[in-house]
This record gives sequence, C-alpha cells and structure tokens, in this order.
Amino acid sequence: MKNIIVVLICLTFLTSCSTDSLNTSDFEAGDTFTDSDIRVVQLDTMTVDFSTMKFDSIDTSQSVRMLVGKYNDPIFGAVKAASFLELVPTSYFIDTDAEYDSITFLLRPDNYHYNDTLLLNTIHINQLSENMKPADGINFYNTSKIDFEEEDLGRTTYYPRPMNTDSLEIKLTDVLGQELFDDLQLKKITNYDEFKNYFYGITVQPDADDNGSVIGFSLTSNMRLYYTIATENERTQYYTDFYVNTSSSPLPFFNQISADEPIDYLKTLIDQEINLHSSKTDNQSFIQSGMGIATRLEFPYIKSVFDIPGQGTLLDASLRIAPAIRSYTDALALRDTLSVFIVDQNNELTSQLYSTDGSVAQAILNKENQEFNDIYYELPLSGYLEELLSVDQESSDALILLPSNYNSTVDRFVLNTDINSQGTTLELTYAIYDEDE
Amino acid sequence: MPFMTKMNKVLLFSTFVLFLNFCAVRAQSESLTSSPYSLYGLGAINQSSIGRTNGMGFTGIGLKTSNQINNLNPANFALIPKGSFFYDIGIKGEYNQYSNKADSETKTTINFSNLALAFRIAEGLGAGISLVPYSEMGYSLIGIKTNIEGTDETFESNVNGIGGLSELKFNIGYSVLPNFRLGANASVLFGNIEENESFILNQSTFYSEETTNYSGIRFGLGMHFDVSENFTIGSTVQFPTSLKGNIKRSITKSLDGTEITVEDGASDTSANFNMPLEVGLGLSANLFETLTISADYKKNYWDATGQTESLGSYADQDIYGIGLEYVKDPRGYKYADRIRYRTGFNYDNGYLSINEKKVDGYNFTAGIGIPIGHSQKSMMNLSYSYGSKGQIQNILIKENFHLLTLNFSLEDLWFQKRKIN
Repeated sequence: MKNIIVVLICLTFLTSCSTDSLNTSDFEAGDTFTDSDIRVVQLDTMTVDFSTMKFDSIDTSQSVRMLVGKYNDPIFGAVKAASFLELVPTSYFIDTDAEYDSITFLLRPDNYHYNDTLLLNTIHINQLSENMKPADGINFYNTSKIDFEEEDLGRTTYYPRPMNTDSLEIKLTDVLGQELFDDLQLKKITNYDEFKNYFYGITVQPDADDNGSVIGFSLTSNMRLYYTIATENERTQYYTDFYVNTSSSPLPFFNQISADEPIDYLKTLIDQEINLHSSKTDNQSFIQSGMGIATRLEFPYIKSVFDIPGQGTLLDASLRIAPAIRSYTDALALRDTLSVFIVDQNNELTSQLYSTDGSVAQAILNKENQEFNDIYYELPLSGYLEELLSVDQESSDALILLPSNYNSTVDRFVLNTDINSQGTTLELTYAIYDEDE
Repeated sequence: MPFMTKMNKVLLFSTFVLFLNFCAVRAQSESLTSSPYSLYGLGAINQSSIGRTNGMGFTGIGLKTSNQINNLNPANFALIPKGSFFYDIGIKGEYNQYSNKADSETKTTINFSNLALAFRIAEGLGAGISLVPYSEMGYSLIGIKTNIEGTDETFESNVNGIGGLSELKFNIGYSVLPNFRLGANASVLFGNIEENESFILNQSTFYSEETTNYSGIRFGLGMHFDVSENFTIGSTVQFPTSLKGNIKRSITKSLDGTEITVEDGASDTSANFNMPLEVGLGLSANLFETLTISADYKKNYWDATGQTESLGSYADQDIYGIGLEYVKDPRGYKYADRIRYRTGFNYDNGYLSINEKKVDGYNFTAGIGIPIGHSQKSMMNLSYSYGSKGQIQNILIKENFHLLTLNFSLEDLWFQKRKIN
C-alpha cells in the first residue's frame, strides 16, 4: 500500500505539471458556434483637411538634371524651365599647331519629359553676364535670377525625342569659339579661376513663345570646342570639352522654374504659410513639383475614434485620394507614386514620412479600374495616425504630398479632395477589445 | 501492528504535500478538457466526484455511505466510523471526439480528479476536506468569422482558452438523531482562465491575452434521513454566490510589421460570475443486502443568474441520475465476493442555451470497486463513463467522450487500541 501511494503521488505530480498538451487543436467550430469577442469596425467618414500650400522656393541646384522647356498648362499657367550652369574645361592646353574649327553645345536627353512631345521646342543658349553667385550666398533656387546676354550663343528648334538618347548638338557662335580657342592656345587661360572670370557660364532657355514640353537633359551635357591639327597629308580633328561644374560649392547650377498666370486659386499662394483650404478651391488640391506647390493633409478629428464606446485600438488606416477627373492626360501624366513629407505649422519641411517598418511612406497610384475612371492614390497611414492617437497634445504638424524628385521635375497633379465622392476616403479599421470602457 | 503508525505518518505527510502542491499551483493540470463548449463561462463544469459515485451515474445525494467519502452530501460525513480516517485520491482520463457537420477531432487528456480526506471528530460528528476541479476550460477554435462592421467583409480569428476553477470544500456532518443527519459545507472556489484571440487583417495583426482570476466562497447544506434501515432520502442545497473576477489583459498589435504593445498586463475588475442556487434530492435503497440503488435529481437555477454569453445564455438545468451497486457479500471471505459492480445513467438537459437550443448530454457509467489491503473498506474504484453532449444539428457541436476515473478510496484506522502491543 505504501508503494501505491508513492506511485500515485508521482503520477499526480506528473499530470499536474504537464503543460505539453496545450491547445494544438485545429477544430473549426463553425461560423456560428461563437463570435469573436473583438469588434472590428471600419470607418470611412473621418474628416481629412486638404489644403494647398506653396514653398517660397525649391532648392533646384540639387536637381539631378537640366530642365528646359515651356508649355501652357490649363491650370498651372505658362510653365517655364531654364537651366543656368557654369562650365569647366577638361583641359587648358591646345597645341600651338592647332587651328580653330567650331564650337557646339551637346544636350543629352535623360528621358524626363512633361507635356506633349509632339510639339516643336526651341532652345536658346545664352552666355551669362554675371558670375554664378547665389543671392543668399548659400544656394540657388527655382526662383533665383542670373543675368545673361540677350544675344544667343546658339539656337535650335527640334521635336523632342526624349526616349532617344541621341544628344542634341547646337552650334554656338564662332566668335565665342575663336576667342576661347585663342585664349587657351595662347595660354591666356591656364586654370579654372582665369576661365571662370572670363566665361561666367551659360543658360539654356526655351523660347518665350514656345508651347511645347519641358525636357530633361543630363548633367553630363557639355560644350565642345573643335579644332584641327595638320599632319603631312590630312587634318586630324580634336576637341576640348567643357563640362557642367557639379563640384564647386555653392553649386553653380540650378533650374529656374516659373509658372505665369495660373488659375486664380494658385495666385493667392504668395506666402509659404498660406494654407489654401480645399473647400475654397472646389474641393481640389494641387501639387506642382519644381514650383513647390504641395497638397497638405491634416487629421483634425482623428481622436474622435475614441468616441466609439469601449476600449479599442487602431488596426489599419489607409487614405485614398483620387486625382480630379480630366485634370490629367497622357501628356500631363500622373506619376505612379507621391512621396509624403512632414511639415510644421509654418510649412517648413521637417522630414520625410516613414512607415513603422522604416521604409519610405508613399502614396501609390492604383490603376486597376482605370477604365471606369476609378483611379486613386493609396497612402498607408496606420503608423502616422497611431502616433497622432498616442500623443496627448494636438500635433501642429501636417503631411504634404509631393513627388519624391520635386526639385528635378515639373510634374503637376490636381486631386479631388471631396471625401464624400467616390475615390477619396480615409479608411480606418479599429478594433474594440473591451466593450465597457 | 507497529508498521501501521509508521504508514499513517507517511500517508499523512504525502497527503499534505499533495495538498500544498495542488493548492499552490492549481487543482488541475493545464490540459485541454477538449470540449469546445468549455468556451462558455468558467469552462465545462466537472461532473465526476469522488469514490464510488462515479460508477453510479454520478448519483449519491441520498446514498448512505459509511465506508468511504461521499462528497455529494455533507450530511454523510456524520457516518464516519469511530477511528476511521478516509482518503481518496483520483485521476481521470478522457478521450473525446467532437464533430460538427464539417469536421471532427479526437483528443485524449489525463487530469487530476480529486483529493479528499474525511475523519471523525466526535460521536456522530465528522468532517472532511476535498479538492475537486469545479470547471475545466480548454478549447481552441480556429477560423471564427466575424463581420467587420461597416463592410461586407469578415475577419477570421483564432481563439483558445485554458484553465479552470478548483473547489476546496470543507464538509461537516452531524447526526442529530440516529436516523437524521445534517451537514454543512463551505467551498472556496478559485482558479483562473486564460483566453487568447488573434487575427490578421490586411497588414496588421492583433493578439489579445486575457487572464481572469476568479475567487469566491460558497455555502451549502445537506440532509440525510433514514426512512428505514435500508432506505434513505437526502437533499442538498448550494446557495448562489458570486465569484469575483479580476482580469489581466495584454494586447499587442502590429502595424506594417512593427509590433506595438497596446496594453501590457493591465489589471481590471471584470464582471463577476454568478453561481446559481442548486437544489438536489436523492434517495437510496439497500435491497437484499447485495444491491444498492441510488437516484438523484438536481436542479440548478441558472436563469436567475441573468448571465449571457456572446451567443448563448444560461438556462435552468435539470440533472437526473440513477445508479446501482452490486456486491455479492461485503463481508465475504472470498475476495471475489467483495468486489463491487456498479452502473448508472445520468441525463443533464444542459445549462447553456445556444440559439434557444440547450446543450444537453447524457452519461452511461460502469464501475468496479476492488478491495485492497487488509482493511475492508479500502478500495480501488475504477469507473468508466460514456457520454455525449450537444448535437450536430444547427450550429452545435456534438461531443462524445469516454471518461475513465481511478480512485483510491482508502481507510486508515486511528486511535485504535492495539490488541497486542
């Protein structure tokens, strides 16, 4: 009997301590056997405040390309882009036997284009009449101004073939070519400083009467001075290249971007701190990169999710914004993504918005139902809104939408901000895990 | 018999160790009861009891038992013979098969089933302590579809629950008259249940873990009246009580793959769990010295607790049971003559009403009591019961189970003067 007791004690100990037969069942009880204790609610009536703002200036010296061209936009006005740049010769040596031949400028398209490329464009190349020094001593912006000679160094008209990488060669005046040749050959110019004081740089301008397209040219575009050296039987051609100076600081390069006579709404954006609410602009908001026009988003009533009875937590949030119908065409194309930045109450850009997993947040164009005009940008916002909900005080920050390369493009967008219309909604998914607060 | 005292000490010590062990941790092992029905309330309420009653259709309110512990009626504790000390230790194994229209699964579990002791205090006055699982929760359901409010879509969650409550019961019984006994009991109900739910929705996940600690005290009374030498009636009442719930909740979610803690072990008082008034009537008769018959009726007034579950509600419960025990000759010299054979049937119309449909169940039981040791009263009780709960029609789940219980009902003799020193 003693033994029985001992065995029994061991047995009960064992059974009472075993934890390995925990729930491993995969029995499907059926839909109606029970309901989840968690309520999940999807809300799509949350207000989003849309407005349009405009940065005083955009730092276009950081552009990855030269932007040249002019077109008339029905909404944004006469959009004009011109490039200003300093050139640096690859060599200060020209053989004493050489003879001047010609000088050209080689523009190399980099595939960027905006508006209709079937229209004729004109390009003027003009010499700068002042040194490339930024007005504030720091940077050039889209609004910067540098004087240049009225007389063209060279000029051409062309039909853009932006997808073609063949460079566009523009002949420049031999007056410039001969002078540069002589100065180099006679060693009047032997270094960068001497060159820079003699030749401030050039600007690449569209024609004032153009209504074509804005084309992007690579920063490897260059000026080329041709000369020949005679040998016994023939003349051999040589050249010296002058490249865009992309190494000095401050960078002596920028794209000047302007838009004259836009619609009246946009004319009111004379200060960066103005937020033009979409209710005043026919439920539209605007984006124009290069010009610094951005759509601003605020979620003033986000904390009203706490009004839902019970204790809950945000599970998902996604903002859909439809582009305004008829605001875009094949030529005035929508881009696949828009980047999201955070601005403070003075509309100073503070940072880019990142998802909680550390990747850059983007609004992505969903074109699945394009044939039904049902296209929209979708922006996942759960991380950002979670943060807004978790802080006590109201945030004075806002989000803005801009193309990621807003200093190197002139893409523009008109968004339909009517939250009641098809397409634009803020979808919140909220889980209530305790009904009685 | 000097070794007897030594063994007493061993037994006493072991019993205390066991008590400590179970009280400190919990009265049952952490395993599935396997029943999806344990999803509701405190889990599936334990039917099995102590000793021979398991083989007799779980009846015993009116069963006059002087040779082992009868935990179903405190009045019976008055019958403990002079110098006797009873122990009862049991384990049980359950093999469950549950199915609905689409699916079926089986599961085997082994659990501690009881620990009890009883002793006599004075002439006609006995007492006992028992530790029995009151309820067991162990379910795991996957793919529960729930509507996302405001859409036509659903989300699918997985829920599981584990845990249970133990009942530590103090019994006292007193013989008011030779044929009339009264008893009282006080139970401490304690334990916790842990329920988890998780789901994935788009890029987000949600996981909640709730541990509810319940505790409460419950009182009851019992009565035995011997109508004649061989015919006894009994009744019991368990008074309604409310178990205090204390909930600890942890909630985590992930947004875009980043885990966020929403709540971390926040404590909160949860809704109390109301236990119903339970009234039981029983009778037993001893026929021809060899046959004992026992019949019980119990009614549990769940309606009055006013409790509901997400899909079901609690409804008054009726339990009917009948049991038989046969022994050729309890004092026979042949060992085989002293073996007890038992059988019984139990019908329970259920305390859960899901979609107006009560989850009823029945059990067939069979058992055998094998005498052990020198003591006439020490016995190994083995019982088997086959039962079924619910039905496949509508939304319910049918559950068939085979339950095997093994009890060692032991008697030790105390304070007996040794005949030979």
